[in-house]
Amino acid sequence: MTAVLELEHLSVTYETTQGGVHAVQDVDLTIASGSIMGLVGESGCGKSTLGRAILRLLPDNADMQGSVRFAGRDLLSLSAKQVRDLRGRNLAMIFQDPMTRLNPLMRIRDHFIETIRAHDPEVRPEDALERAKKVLADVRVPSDRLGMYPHELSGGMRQRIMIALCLLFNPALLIADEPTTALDVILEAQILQLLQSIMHEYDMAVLLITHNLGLVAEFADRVAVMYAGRIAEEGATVPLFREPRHPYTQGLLRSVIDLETTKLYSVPGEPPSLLGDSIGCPFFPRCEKRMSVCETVFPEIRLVGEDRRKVACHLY
Amino acid sequence: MTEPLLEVRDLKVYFSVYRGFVQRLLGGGDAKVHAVDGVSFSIAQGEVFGLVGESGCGKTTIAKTLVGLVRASSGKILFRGEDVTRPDRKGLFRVRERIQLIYQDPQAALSPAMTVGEAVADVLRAHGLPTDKGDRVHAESEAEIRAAVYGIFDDVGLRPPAFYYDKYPDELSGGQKQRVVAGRVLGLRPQLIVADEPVAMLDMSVRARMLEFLMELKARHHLTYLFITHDLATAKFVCDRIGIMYLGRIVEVGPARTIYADPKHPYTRALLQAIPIPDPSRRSAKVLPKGEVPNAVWPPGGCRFHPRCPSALPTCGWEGRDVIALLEERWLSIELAAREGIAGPIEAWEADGLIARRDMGTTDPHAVAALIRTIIDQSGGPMAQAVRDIRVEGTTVIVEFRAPEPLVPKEVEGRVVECLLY
Repeated sequence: MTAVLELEHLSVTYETTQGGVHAVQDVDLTIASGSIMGLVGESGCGKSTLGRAILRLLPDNADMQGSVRFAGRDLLSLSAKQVRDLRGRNLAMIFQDPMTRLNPLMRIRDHFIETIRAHDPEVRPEDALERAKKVLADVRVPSDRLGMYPHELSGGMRQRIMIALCLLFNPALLIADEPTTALDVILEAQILQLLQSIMHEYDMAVLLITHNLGLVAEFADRVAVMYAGRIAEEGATVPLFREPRHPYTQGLLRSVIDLETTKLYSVPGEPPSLLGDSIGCPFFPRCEKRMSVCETVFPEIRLVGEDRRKVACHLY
Repeated sequence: MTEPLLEVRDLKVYFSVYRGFVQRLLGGGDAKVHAVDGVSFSIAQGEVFGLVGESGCGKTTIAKTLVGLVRASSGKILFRGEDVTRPDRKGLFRVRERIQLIYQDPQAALSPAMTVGEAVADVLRAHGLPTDKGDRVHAESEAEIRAAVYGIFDDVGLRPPAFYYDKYPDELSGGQKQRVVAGRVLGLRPQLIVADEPVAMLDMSVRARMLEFLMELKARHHLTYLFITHDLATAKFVCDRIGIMYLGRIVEVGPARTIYADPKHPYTRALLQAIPIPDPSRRSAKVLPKGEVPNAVWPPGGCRFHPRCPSALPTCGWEGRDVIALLEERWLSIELAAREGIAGPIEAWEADGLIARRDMGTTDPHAVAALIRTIIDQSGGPMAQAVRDIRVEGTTVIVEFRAPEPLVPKEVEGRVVECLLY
């Protein structure tokens, strides 16, 4: 299996007037080509920052360390122009709210023409439209929608159009940051089924960033659980859900409310502030299995069990 | 059964759509969003009644109508038998002391420029302090109000209250903000609380705590809840009875236990099936309803769910626009669109109630009529049997459907369902 993306010791710190916010810290993550990697965590855990860091879409006050290797190149060492050329062509991203990503003053057709000509300025608008029709058919959107404005379309149609825009250049990796959070359950399931069939057709890997453990369980090949800017646990989906190792993963899974829930559970406490330096395990104050070592020594990632799962916990 | 705390009878709430001068001149009547279109339910004292449905089904409009933020177009709302459908200014003030709303986003419900203590105090200044006898008296002093806010903060678990009083919303977590909002609501001693997606904005690891808190408050203050959510799993946990809403109608209503054990309406089934299961060893292929929730300005005829329903019958309300939708879906395939080109383009088709028509101009209408007949027979499903006639009038091809069977709510195994399958 070949890797499409390799993150090594990736850290992102936002410089603020109150000090550095360590949004992502020392993350190692490998995504195999053609696979779905689920990145789960709660608000503020750094999962969106991680997604944007890969595309170098972070604001100016963000400082990045480590490496992001994509197709044999380290994205952090490329110039802004080189990254811009990769973005949308080899690496694409969709976001939570498709309405805010489409220009309300532009017809759908112009979004396609603009995107195509940004990478291939020579393409004639008529040819660009032909390509648009092809990808629209792949995401099951009738081509008459090309003449419409974003506000004339439903939320599901807009997200399909965002996906179609990403498909134009057949990217090797699609980063989907909460792609269905603004949608209802039925639409959510429809969009993810669509993504799944398209990624096979286009031989594309997906980094699915979400807070929804159910979605990850249904669609991801591997799962990375993020807490306080770090990866707490990472491994193949089936064993990870069967036997979660990190106390945070265990707590998170127990707190899911599904149709079979008989007893409510919440992880005690609140996530820590990422401002300033910290020592010890970030989950220490909320952990039900904490030991004295956890307070002062940061748990390095170790490989645990038969599936050689990565777990950052002193229990193992 | 004793008199229900709240009774809603055939409630309709329509919103006018703005149409420009030229559009009005061109006619076509007034366009209205049928947000709530004939909804009836009642809530008993001490009960948790859930309204569950997807965005745009009208559940939030019902919440707003109950507290007078939106005016009912027709129908009745009775609170302890008293008509509160269209209260005057004074009546509205009274209604809001008895029915209170908790919103989804506590951040938006609290002013960022006001300390959370003041946010609660303000309400007590306007409405007075509740007494043990059930009436209200205006506070003698600011100190009395502050003491009352402390009491409320203590009640909702913001302890020590003096520490929280002078905090701004930005300094609190999502869960704490939701507690402030709950406290502000409780300060009025309402009898019915309408909770509109109260946990949707919270993280999973703390969501359960909020639900437990709401249920604890209910027990302590003998409250009744109308719990509005899109999340069937959460509703299952807190609701005694639920109503499933789709496009302005309640399609299934009854005891939560009964509905979850054996959902009857195809829409309820679809919703339940779509919930992702956090267990990768139980992945299964899902049969999802087609397409999306249609526009509520022109809701589908017959049963509103029929165009998407996996169990639809020929009598469910097939109409002209369903033919156009079928052609559109079919011609997503570029190959089929080319082969069936003589019947296109889709924009040339026009729907008018039970009829779909297309003026063929110089093209042979009989060939197109035959093609449409084949397409509907092959891939129209139950729609095919609903066709009354496919004919040619002059140069126009016409597809006409039979009128649907009338849809009435029926009692089925302990719940009420609005579906022709039963």
